[in-house]
Order: sequence, then C-alpha cells, then structure tokens
Amino acid sequence: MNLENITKTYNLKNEQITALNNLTYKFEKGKLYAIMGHSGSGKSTLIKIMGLIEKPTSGKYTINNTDISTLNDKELSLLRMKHIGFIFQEFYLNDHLKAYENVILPMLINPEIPKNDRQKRALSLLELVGLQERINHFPKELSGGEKQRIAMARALANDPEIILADEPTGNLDEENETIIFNYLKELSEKGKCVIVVSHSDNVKKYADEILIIQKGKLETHENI
Amino acid sequence: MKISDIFFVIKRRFLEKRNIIFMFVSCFLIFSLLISLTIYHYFNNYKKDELTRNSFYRTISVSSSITPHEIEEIVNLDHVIYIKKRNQGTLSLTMKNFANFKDADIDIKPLLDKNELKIIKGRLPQNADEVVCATKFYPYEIDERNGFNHKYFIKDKNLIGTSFTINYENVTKTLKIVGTYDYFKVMDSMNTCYINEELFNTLVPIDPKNDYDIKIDKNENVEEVASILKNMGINYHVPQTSNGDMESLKYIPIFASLLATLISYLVIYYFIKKKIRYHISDYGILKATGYTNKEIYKIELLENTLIFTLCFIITTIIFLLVYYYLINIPYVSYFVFTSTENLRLPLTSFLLTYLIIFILNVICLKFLMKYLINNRSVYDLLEDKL
Ligand SMILES: Nc1ncnc2c1ncn2[C@@H]1O[C@H](COP(=O)(O)OP(=O)(O)O)[C@@H](O)[C@H]1O
Ligand SMILES: [Mg+2]
Repeated sequence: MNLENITKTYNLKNEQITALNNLTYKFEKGKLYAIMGHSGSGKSTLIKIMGLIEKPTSGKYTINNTDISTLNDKELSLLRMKHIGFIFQEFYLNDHLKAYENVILPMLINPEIPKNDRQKRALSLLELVGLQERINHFPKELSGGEKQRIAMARALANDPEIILADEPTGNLDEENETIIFNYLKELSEKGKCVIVVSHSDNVKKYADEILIIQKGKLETHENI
Repeated sequence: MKISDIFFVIKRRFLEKRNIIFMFVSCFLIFSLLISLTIYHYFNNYKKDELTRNSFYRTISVSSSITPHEIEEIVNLDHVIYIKKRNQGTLSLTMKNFANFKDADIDIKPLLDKNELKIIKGRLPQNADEVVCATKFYPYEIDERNGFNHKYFIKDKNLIGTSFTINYENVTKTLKIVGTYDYFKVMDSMNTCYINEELFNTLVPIDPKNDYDIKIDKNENVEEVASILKNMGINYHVPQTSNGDMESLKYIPIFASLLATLISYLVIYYFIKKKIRYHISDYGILKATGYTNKEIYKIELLENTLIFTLCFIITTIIFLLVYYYLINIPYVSYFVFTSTENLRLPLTSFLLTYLIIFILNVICLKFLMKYLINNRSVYDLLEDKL
C-alpha cells in the first residue's frame, strides 16, 4: 500500500478543516503498524482512506500497484471484499442479525467461500476471538468488548491481506486488550499487513513500526 | 449474489413495523388501482358493445303495437336492415306458448298486480295467490334453500306450462311454471317461477310489452324511414346515440387510474425513501465489507418486490371476494354485466396493476439509490449523514 501526498479536507459551513496534509507513506505486508497521535490529529481519517471508506481530496493511493482513483464502484467493492478487513471504533454491526450472521455477511458475496462452509467458518472465527458462547446473540445483547470481537471476526471473514483497526481496544479492559493485540500480531506474522490506530501505549510492545501523526502530518515514525 | 443470500440479509428485518405499514398502504393502493382499471375495462367493453351495435346503424324505436302485416311492410322498406323486438331492460317474464301470452316478454310487476299474486319465499306456494321463483332477483327475494332441487328440469325450451311435483319440507305439491325470467338470456331452471297447478289456467293476461327496434343502415336515412312510419300511423321515436355520453364517462376511470398511479408513485417513493434511510448504516456496513451498489439495489429490489407480491396476493383475494359478492347481487350484475363475455375476470387489469406497481418500484428505487447510496462515501452511509 502506497500513500503519496494524501490530503483530506472537510468543508464545513464557513471553515475548511484539513484532516490530513500531504501524507506520504508506504505500508508493507507482514508488519504491524501502530498509528498514534492526539485526538483530532487525523488518525481515523487516514485509516478510513486506506480502508476505502473515504476518498482523499487529493493525492495518490495505490494498493498492489493499482491506483484507487481509477476504479469504479464494482472494482472498489471487489478490493474491499478481497483485500481489506476493517475494524471500526464504533463496531458498526448489523443490529437485526445475530453475532454469527454478522460474520457471515461479508462471505455472501465471496464466491471463493462455498455456501456450506460459511457457517463453519463464521463459528471458527468467533471461536478464535473467544465468542463461541455468544454466537446466537444479537449485538444489543452484547457488551462493547464482545461487539468489538464480533467486528474483528467479521473483518477476517474473507481472509483479507490488509487489516485495519481504528482504536480496536478503546472499549476493552487490559486483559481483552492483550488478547486482541496478540491476535493482531499473530496475523501480521502470518504475512498480513496490520494497521492499528490506538491511544494505548501497550500497542508499542507489538508494533513493528510506529507512526505518530500530528495535525494531519506524519510527525515521526520509528522502526522497532 | 443469489436470491437465497439476499434472503439472508433481509430475513430478520422483513416483518418489521415499517414494512407492515408499507404493506397495508400497498394493499390499499393495489386495490384502488385494480378497481379503477377494472371499471375502465368494463367501460371499454361496454363501449365496444355499443360501437358494434351502433357505429353504422341508427335505431328507430316503435312504441305502439303493430300487426305482423305492418312488420312485414317495414322490413321491406329501403334502408331498413331488420326489425326486432327490443331487449327488455326491465325485469320480465318470458311466456312462451302459453294461453294468451304468445312468446311475449311481460313485466313481472303488472302481471303480479293484475292477478293479485305475490311472490313468496322460503316455502312452497300454499294459497292460490302465491308465486315462487327459483333464484333471487331484484327487487324480489326468492328462496334458494336446499329442498328446491332445480337440477332435474334443466335447459328445456318449453318449460312454461310444465308441471312439477316438488317435495319441500315434507309437503308435496304439484306446481306449474308460469314463466321464466333471466338476465343472461339463458333459459334454465334457475330462472323459473312457479304457481299452483289449479291457478295456472286462470291467470288473467296483461298486454305484453311489444316494443320494436328498427335498424336503419345510415344516419342520413333515418328521416326518410321515419316519415314513412308517420304515414302508416305508427308511433315512434328516434333515440339519441349514447356514444357521446359514454365517451366522456370513459374518462372517469382513466382519470381514476392515473390518479391512483400517481398517488402510488408518491407513496411508494416516500416509503422506499424512508426504508432506505432507516437501513442506510446497514448498507454502509455492507459497502464497507465489499458489497457493490448493484448488490444493495438487488437487496432493496427483492425486499420491495416481495412486499408487493404479498400485497398483491392478499388484495387479489379480497378483490375476488368483493367481485363475486357483487356479481351475485343480481341488481348489480344486471346493469354491470350485459353479456357473459363481460362476466369473465378482467385479467388484464390484474396484470396491468402488477406491472404498474413493479415499474414504479424500479423507478423509485433507481432514483433513490442514486440519490441516497451511490454518490456517497461509505463513511457517510455509516454515519448516515445527508
Ligand atoms: N466527517 C467530518 N466532517 C468534518 N470534519 C471532520 C470529519 N471527520 C473528521 N473531521 C475532522 O478532521 C480532523 C481529524 O479527525 P479524525 O481523523 O477523526 O481524528 P482522530 O481519529 O485522530 O481523533 C478533526 O479535526 C475532525 O474534527
Ligand atoms: Mg479517531
């Protein structure tokens, strides 16, 4: 993944907010990146652009050498489905579907997962995040940490190469946080590109590279 | 995306409150569309009948009684195509080959009055002044309970005057058919009236209605024939053609259909918009996990089509119940269904209704998808910012 001079501005009524300012960086597979910075510094904006959730105002973003700006809805959707797993800070679960059904949802459009394997795969993913006893619950019957783990299982449903997590442990206690970070680390060791936005200093223990963002600009990055 | 997969997405939300309300409203819309299109269908058919009857020909109505000799004379006139006894618009008994009523249509009411007879129901005639008829017809109500088995004297051209021994509630009576009435112009046991055998030959005749219609080949020749009739001393009048009236009346159901379509469009638009907006963050989730706009469109399309199909089935059942209730009120059927051709269900109005609803669904959906989903970033959908 390659970001070149990415800028994102939001037009409000009478002011323009520059959330990202000329950001350039290259992300590689097999690493865990931690993006840190103050609240409002543009971390979520960055990760949303990388997850194809928002479009940059200007700049060039390429995934596997494909320029995103040249793609239509169908091609973008295919990229999202195959390559990107996004874990939102706000979870964004489908409230009228049960936990395991939320995890199945992305598999419905993936022709590589046969219909009969979907349920089995969803259950094994939920087991992986320790939710095997909650598969039949609706999101509103679950705690924040549990919802977060469903969102994580869902992000992994189609086995993407890029896993993006926006404050995945923001609502979790330390014990759960460790579980999640360990798991994300494991994924990066399996060759996936894992990018985690986090406030927590604990993330530093797991990260291969740390990016610090300030006022929409990449301030420093450390290799560990 | 397979249909079964779409079901997976909508299965748990399909019967939520807003969809149920949507269904109620849709049923009402479909019902009004169906009714206005059906009325239009009948108007059209009626008009076709009128047209084939009246497009070239004009009619002169003769209201005084005329002799067979005069009839022959009229038939041989230039420009006269035929002369025939007018179809009785009112309820009448056909009395063939009986006493003084020779092949005549006789108004039921005067016949009953003159002979001081009354139509009874629920039992066999016991007194000499009672008549019973097979089925009900306006404005008289006649019994059709089980004991009256009409099956064994079906379709006999010479019913009038025939005796029948009928056993009904342990009473055996011999009755004679005094006449048949019908509004579908079919002679069978369902439209026969009976009186006691002894009474049959004492019926006092009344003047049969003998109005005739003379068909003239062209509008221009009406005057010519009319003056000849005048010279013969025959009372006549030239009815105005009703085509003009029908023409303007026809616009009422067309207008009603268009109005129903327009209201359907607005309502469907409103409900689909509400529905999409309610589910917009769910669609954001779908997009974030890789669904295309087209797949979201398919989900909405299937859900709406399912709703409309369900409504269509419910409404069709209600419509058929109302329809068959209506045609079984003879007064209504007498005026609405002038021929058995008309009695057939107007299948085209069913097809047209479903087609209109389906097309409205697609149009509204395409537009709303563009406006609410396609042109927005996934994040906007998730946050439902508009
Ligand atoms: N949808 C939006 N509309 C307007 N301003 C926004 C929007 N999203 C983010 N911003 C602004 O952009 C800046 C960066 O936000 P964000 O990326 O969410 O920061 P972080 O995640 O680092 O806290 C903030 O000043 C925020 O107010
Ligand atoms: Mg944030």
